Amino acid sequence: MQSLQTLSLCSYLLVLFAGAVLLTHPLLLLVLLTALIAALAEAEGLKQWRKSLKYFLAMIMLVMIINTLVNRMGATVLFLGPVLPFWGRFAVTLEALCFGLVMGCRLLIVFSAFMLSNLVLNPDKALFALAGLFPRSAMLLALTAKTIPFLGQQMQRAGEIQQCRGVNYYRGSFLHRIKNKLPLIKVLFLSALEGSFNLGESIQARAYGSGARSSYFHVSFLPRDFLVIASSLGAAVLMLRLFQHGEGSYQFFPRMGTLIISKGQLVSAALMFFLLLVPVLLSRGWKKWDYFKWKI
Amino acid sequence: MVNTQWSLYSLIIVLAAVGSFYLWYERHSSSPKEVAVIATLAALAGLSRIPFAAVPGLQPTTFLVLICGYVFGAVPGFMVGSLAALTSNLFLGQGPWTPWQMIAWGLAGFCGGVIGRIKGKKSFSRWLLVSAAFFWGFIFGAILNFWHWLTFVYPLTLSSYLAAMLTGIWFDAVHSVGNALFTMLLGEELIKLLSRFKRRLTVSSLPVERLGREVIKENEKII
Amino acid sequence: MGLFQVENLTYYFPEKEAPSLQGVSLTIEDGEFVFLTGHSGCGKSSLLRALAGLLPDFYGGRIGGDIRYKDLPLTHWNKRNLAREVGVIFQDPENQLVMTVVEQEIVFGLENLGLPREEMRRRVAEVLSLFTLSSLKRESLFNLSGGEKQKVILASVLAMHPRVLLLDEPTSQLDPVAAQELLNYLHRLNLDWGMTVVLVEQRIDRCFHLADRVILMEKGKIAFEGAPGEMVRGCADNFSFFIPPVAQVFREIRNEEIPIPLTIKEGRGVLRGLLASAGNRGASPPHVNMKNSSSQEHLSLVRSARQGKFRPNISAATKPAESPLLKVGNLGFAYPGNELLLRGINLEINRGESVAVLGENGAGKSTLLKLFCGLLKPQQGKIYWQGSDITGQCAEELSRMIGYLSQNPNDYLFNDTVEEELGFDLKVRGENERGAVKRVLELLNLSELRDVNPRDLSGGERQRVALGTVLVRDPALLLLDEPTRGLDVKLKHQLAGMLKNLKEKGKGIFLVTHDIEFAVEVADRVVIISAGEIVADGGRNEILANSLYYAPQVNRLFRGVDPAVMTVHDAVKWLRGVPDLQNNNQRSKAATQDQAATKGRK
Repeated sequence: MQSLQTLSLCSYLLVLFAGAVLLTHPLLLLVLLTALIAALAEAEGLKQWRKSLKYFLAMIMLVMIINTLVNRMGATVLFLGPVLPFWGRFAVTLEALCFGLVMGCRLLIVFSAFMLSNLVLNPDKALFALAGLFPRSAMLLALTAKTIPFLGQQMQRAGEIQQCRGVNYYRGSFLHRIKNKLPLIKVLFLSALEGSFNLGESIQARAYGSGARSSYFHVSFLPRDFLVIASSLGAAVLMLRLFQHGEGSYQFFPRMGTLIISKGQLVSAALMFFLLLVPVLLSRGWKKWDYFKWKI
Repeated sequence: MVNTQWSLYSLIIVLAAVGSFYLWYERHSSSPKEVAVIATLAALAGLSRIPFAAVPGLQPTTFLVLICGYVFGAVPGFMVGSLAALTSNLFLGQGPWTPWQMIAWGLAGFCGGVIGRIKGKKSFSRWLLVSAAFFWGFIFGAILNFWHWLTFVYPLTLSSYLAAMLTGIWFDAVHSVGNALFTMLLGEELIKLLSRFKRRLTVSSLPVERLGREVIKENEKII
Repeated sequence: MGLFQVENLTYYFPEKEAPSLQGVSLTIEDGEFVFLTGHSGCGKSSLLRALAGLLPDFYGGRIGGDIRYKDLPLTHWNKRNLAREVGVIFQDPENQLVMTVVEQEIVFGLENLGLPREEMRRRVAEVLSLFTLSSLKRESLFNLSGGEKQKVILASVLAMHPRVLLLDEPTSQLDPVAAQELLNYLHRLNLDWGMTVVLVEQRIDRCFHLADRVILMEKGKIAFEGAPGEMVRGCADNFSFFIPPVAQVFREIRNEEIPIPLTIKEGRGVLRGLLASAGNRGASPPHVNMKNSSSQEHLSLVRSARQGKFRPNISAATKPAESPLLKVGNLGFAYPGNELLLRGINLEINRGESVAVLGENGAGKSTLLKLFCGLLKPQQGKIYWQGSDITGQCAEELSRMIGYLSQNPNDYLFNDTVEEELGFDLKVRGENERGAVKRVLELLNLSELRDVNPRDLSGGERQRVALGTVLVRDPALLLLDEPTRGLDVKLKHQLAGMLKNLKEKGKGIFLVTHDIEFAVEVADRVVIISAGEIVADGGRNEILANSLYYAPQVNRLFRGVDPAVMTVHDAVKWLRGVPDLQNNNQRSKAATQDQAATKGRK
């Protein structure tokens, strides 16, 4: 999947993301989630996904709790608490609970979509896609991204020196510990800024800022990119149609509505599922058949 | 029906805001020296997101961005803050939070720049800086919670927003107090340090011949 | 007409009262290899930057005089065209890299020039092959070694097809092997492509003979200018540091008729000639006042080198009866998740002893130092300090006894004045700092700089301040990691003097270095580490003499003649011992012929 161009990957990820944000219908969300998990598995990120699931779960729990507590539009009261000042009567309804659950599911999809994007999007490629529109900023971005790991190394080194000089970061009062960081911060800033002057010289000597830049890396679209963009667009259109017809959302309040509103909705969901699976299927295909890899 | 489009709209607005700022920056050419310094400062601020002390939520990024803005001005401040957010997320993971962090830290830098511009007693501007650092902890939290609330909470009322804020109040409080402490304990020194470099950034050149005359002039003044 | 014409160039850095360049005039011809040298702070870097058009454009300051490139004043050149013509490379590769991947870095300059894509593709492919970087094309720059990084920058600059290369100490952060590779490339570029090269460099013995012209600067002025052959004889005595050791040896003889060689090969030719004529004449053995050395050994070229036993410089260090300062037994260490980097290390360091550790990059030398000073904890073995176990103690506790100086002095300096910087180490511990700081300031010749901001100092001075922060704690053992990195010859010599002084005061010194000449000057004992194990440990001469890789230059000159000659000082003494070397026409003629023969074979 990494072989796809930034634009095609982005359109796919954007559709997944927009779906999670726009839709609230449990069935449609399930479609998104399933497609995402398949994509994560294809990008060999399932293990990592499962590992971070517990952090997601904590967030999801939080979302559920907030929703259950603040939402008092449901009719099926499960638990009636005391009257609280400023708040009114404390009540937990079945509908709010279910709504919280669905919201948690959306959160999970959003997180998973970004996890996928972190896995498959190459930041360098993304940068070059950006460079067309924002050449200076892209360069600034590249420079910053390159500097961070080097400074990290420098920080480690300077920290060791401070230790040798007798500074202890782990003892003393809280304020004392913050103060003890000052030498480290100063060393780091001084060295980094001194270095930045050399960096400035070097980029000036290599003609930076001498006029318009050209771009070496160019985007060559393969059939696979068009396929992915087309399928993503298709899924987006379906999504918008569902949204406009009110079939993208689900009625929670005051009482939960029926799950399937119309036949069309069901067909759209199935079609959307297929379209969202296109990149996954393509990726499978490249792995299995050379012919596929070369031709598409 | 649950209104879900607000979440998408808000994201579009934020992205457009950040994007237009960058477009504006594109049109104002800056020297290689400035580019290198901004990138370095942004890298430093981004790096400092890696937990500094053993307390969760305590990280000096906001404070550093504020100070950078204070010394170098509002526009470089915004650039440093937003770049720090974007690039550090390359290492920590991008998410829907990225554009919000970009604008929150960008604005913190901008705010630092505005404070730096306010003429007045030095002690007053330092006091202003400390209180700005304190409030930015909460503002940062408020901005970041906004999308979360817009997307995952219903109904969209003030009380539900406050409830959403409340869940992260501990982190925001630590963030705020940390910012204020950092600014009080380390701010002065860091401002001094950065000002020294700023002077080197803006030095002008003179031909030696003219220099001779000017030195003489100055000497005359002294006499 | 020269490519560069500099006339009466004067330059003041902003807020500085002393000029950095003072009335410099010079011409650089197309295709010339110019070697620019001098003490640190002599203005050579400023001159280089002026040629690159970075002064005063980048730094500000005050400038006078005229610099022309191709007969047009530099200020009239448009930035893009100038960058096309003149490529610049600086010291630290990390401060020059812009991108994250090799290919992007190489293409950076080309994009700035706004070249069309097809042109860029061709140029990138070419420089990748020229520098054998093709396999690293998609590699992250962060994972490259210093030498590879510098090579990528050279490739990036050369892709822009400049006519002139200006280099400011490009090898100062590199190990000798990588440095040599880079210099070889420069030599090739100059020979095969006619590239004009202006090189500022501290590794004099490596690049002196490559140059067409040597320019020696002192206090912002040109002190000497001429071909390398002229320089070795013509420069004033106080600049003799700036000629290669081989040349220094023969210069010191002060015989006009003996040619002064520039390389070991030439030097051996001259030496052979000297000895042959001395031997032919059946001269009396040289009365060298060195023990265990027979004249025959001196004069024989064929005799086995192993017989040379004299050790001129070793202080007759009697083994102290007390327990060693530091002793490690069977030490083993691995970074988390890796194989053992160091294993089975057994070492002792005594009071008043200095030990040099040599070895390749990545052999574990620096790691060993960090283990000794408590920054890392060993997985195997024990460390004893004067007999008591200190394994696992942290760096803060050990820093009173063991002083560790890292490679990069910039990691130390953050205070506003030198005095505060030195005082910091004691203030942190809540001790009274006055007396100790004063003592160290005097010891390191820093008294005049006490009120200066350490960040305004030159590299050599920063190094001394960093050393001062260690010495102020008065540790009994000093651990030094590459203390000569980026120092010029004179400063190295000064540092060696200071270390010898400390050694005499009873401190133990343990230093990791790539600089064999420096190790010879300072160390009594040499340890060689290879792939995490100690492969040699013994007296300096025992280990270094006749070593293929680790022999100092002068020793290589005397290989097969007398393996115990290690330094310029030894060599001069040795040669003075050859009977009536002075005023012997016959012999020097022979030497000249011999050298001519050597040259002819070239």
